[in-house]
Amino acid sequence: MKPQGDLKQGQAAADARHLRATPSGGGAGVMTASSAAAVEQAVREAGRARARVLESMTTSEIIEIIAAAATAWTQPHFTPRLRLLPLLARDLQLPRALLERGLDAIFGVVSESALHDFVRSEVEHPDALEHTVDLGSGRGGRLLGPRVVFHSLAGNVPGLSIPPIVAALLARSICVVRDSKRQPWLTAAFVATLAEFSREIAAMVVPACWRAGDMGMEKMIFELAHRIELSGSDSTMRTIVSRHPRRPIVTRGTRVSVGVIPRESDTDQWQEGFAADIVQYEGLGCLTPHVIFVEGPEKRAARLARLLGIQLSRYEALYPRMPRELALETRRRAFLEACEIVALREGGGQLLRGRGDGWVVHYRPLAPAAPGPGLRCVVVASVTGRSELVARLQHLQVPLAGVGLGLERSHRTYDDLASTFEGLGATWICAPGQLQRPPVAWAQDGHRRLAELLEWRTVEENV
Amino acid sequence: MLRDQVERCIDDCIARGPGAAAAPDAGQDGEFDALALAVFAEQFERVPLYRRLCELRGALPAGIEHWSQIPAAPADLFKEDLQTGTEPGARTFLSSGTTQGPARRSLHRVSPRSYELYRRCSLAQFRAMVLPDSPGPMSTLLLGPSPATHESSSLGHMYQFVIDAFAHQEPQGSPASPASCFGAGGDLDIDGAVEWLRASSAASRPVLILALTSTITAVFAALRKRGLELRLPADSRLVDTGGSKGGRTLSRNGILKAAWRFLHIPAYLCVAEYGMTELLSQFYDDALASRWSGGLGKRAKVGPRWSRSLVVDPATLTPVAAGQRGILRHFDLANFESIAAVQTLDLGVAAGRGFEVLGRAAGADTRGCSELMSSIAGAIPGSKPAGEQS
Repeated sequence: MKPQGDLKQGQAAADARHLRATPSGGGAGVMTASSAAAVEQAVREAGRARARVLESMTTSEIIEIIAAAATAWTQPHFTPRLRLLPLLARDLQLPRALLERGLDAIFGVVSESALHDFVRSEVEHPDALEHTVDLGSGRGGRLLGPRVVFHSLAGNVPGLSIPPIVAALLARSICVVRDSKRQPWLTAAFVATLAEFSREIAAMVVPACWRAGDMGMEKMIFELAHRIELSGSDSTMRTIVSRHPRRPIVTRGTRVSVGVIPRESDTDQWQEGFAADIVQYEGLGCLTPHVIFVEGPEKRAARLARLLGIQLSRYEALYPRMPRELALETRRRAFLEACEIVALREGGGQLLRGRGDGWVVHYRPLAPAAPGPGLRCVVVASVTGRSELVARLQHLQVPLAGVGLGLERSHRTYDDLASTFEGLGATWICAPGQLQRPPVAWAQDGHRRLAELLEWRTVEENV
Repeated sequence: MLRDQVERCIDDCIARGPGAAAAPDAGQDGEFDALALAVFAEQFERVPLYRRLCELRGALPAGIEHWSQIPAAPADLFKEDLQTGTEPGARTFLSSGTTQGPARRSLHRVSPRSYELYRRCSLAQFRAMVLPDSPGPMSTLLLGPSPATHESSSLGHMYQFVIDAFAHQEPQGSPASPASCFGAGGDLDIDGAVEWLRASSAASRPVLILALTSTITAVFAALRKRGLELRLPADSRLVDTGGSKGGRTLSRNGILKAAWRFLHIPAYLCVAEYGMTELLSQFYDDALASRWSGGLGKRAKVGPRWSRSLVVDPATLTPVAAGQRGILRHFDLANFESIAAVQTLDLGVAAGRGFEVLGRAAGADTRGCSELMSSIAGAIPGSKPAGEQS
């Protein structure tokens, strides 16, 4: 099955449809299910759409549809995007310009070539996604995802639903996505765009939203879904998991990221990238660097701290930090007070802060690898060598997610260093400035999004 | 001398009788403001760590025009060596256990002169807020620390001042007064407390219970378990401190309901105290004081006239608009010897003549005297050992 029209026509159609949509009605054109009956009804319809997709759609066609919809969302004048931005800015309390960059990052990585690479890297027999293959001994099967995959997502950063949706659609699974009540818009809006290219594909995604702790909805979805994936705070997930002790549940909890500038790299070329990573989403996602380690003499770390401060000041002028809720701001204040006290007690460091404490860079040579509050606060530490760096990272109080590595990719030590960080648990290693742009294939928390969905199944038993 | 001036001001406030700290814009700030600025300038010169903190923030005495602009030291700065109260005979007050462990406790050293000021301040504020009706000597039950059990607890010393000044002294009577059911190890003698209360309910002298919120919660749990609903004599009252700490204590409403049900103490005779090792003055619910003076406003924590409190925005450290929540900052002239302006991470909102405490900020270490209680975990349904965060 071909997408309905080329991208240009599709975007025009999408524009027209969204012009009629009312975002306050639960997404731009696609309703968000908020009751058990609505979710069950949507999943029944998704089942019918899935049967047609299983029968007639190739992986390339699915990729083409997803990439076309994602590309539409990277266009600055795409009407749904223009309509959604003020809502997201309001709900997430993020500067609009940073959200624009965020949307570019979220959808920019969903290109056709990236999705083909994704399939190639995670699926041993891509043909088996499309049709039954001979498994020997007279048996045949297809690589398919479970019939219904359920994702419950955190609300700290936007766009968390896009990679799961992509993986589920490639696996031909129905994807029920429960967004945070704080920002239920983007998933439904993206699904509406998908619908402009393929109603069947769009129907396989069920945006849903209900209040946390709704036991009725939780019971319904745990009965309905064949795979459960949760992201959010560790304590919330522990509570949910404890209610379903016999159910396998994939959890993605609290993680932090760090920056590293190794000895063999120049200090002066990474501050801009680190500042961009720090400012994006106000440091509330797991890919924000909380501590940046600089190998070598202390003066290198001190210099990076100063350069970073200059760069953060520029960002502050362009995108002033917006006040957050009391709990987050109080946590930030506690961090700042602790930095002040450490600076008074230890000396030897520098506490750099922007106007009105808009940003904070605490250069503290011996700083441990500890998560900060985000919100444009970062610690710069000095390490003498590789073994000290590893030792400090081993004592990180929260599992590692990403490492912004300030070293040219072509440098002969890059791969060794990357292996070291992978050994410490890092799942996303990239240049500073790219931390907040993980690829769709990012194995967050070590879970390969597509490969883990797939099993050899017969269509009959799976439909 | 400035110190004499400060003490004169406090003593004048005490002599004027009950009264609350003025709100920042109440137009009564002239004398306080001048004194506060002078105290700040003096502390800036004398307390090296405070001076460096002010310099770090770019806040120098010459640029400060009103007491509300005085840089407030984080309460955690008291965990460092402030080099104050170093005179011979000085006492050291330590905050109780926190989630950061005993090594990271706030330390407030007070000279003999400041200790005496602490005594006068404590008694005056207690009299104003807990005993406005002058009920006379009361049978007193202590369910918290004392200098004998917790030498370094400022709260323990405050309780002792109160007992010495206001308790009916009958150590051999039944019930004995003052009586204590709280041990040095943080262990609460629940059976002893219940028996004491049972005996007191048969007597006629009003009772004063000085408790931690956690210990009185445990006593209520014991009374419930035993099916006892006592009627303490009229005018009996409960003073608790420490506030709600996760699952180990009842909420404020829970305390008020339980006090009526199990002890027959009406809500207006239940007074919650809010204090901290870092400050030599205390804040109390004004329910009783208001009622006595004919007011029926919403319950709020009120400090003495020689203190000021602000609710500030944690992002900017500027005062929030009326009705907005923020973090509490206090300025206490009685802290002449250390640092008068103290920034807490306690969440609060302005209310009535003072403020309401909403709890402790997430991410800040749990602290407070309810952490003293150690051995009654399990007495309260869902409770956890002291030191554990709920």
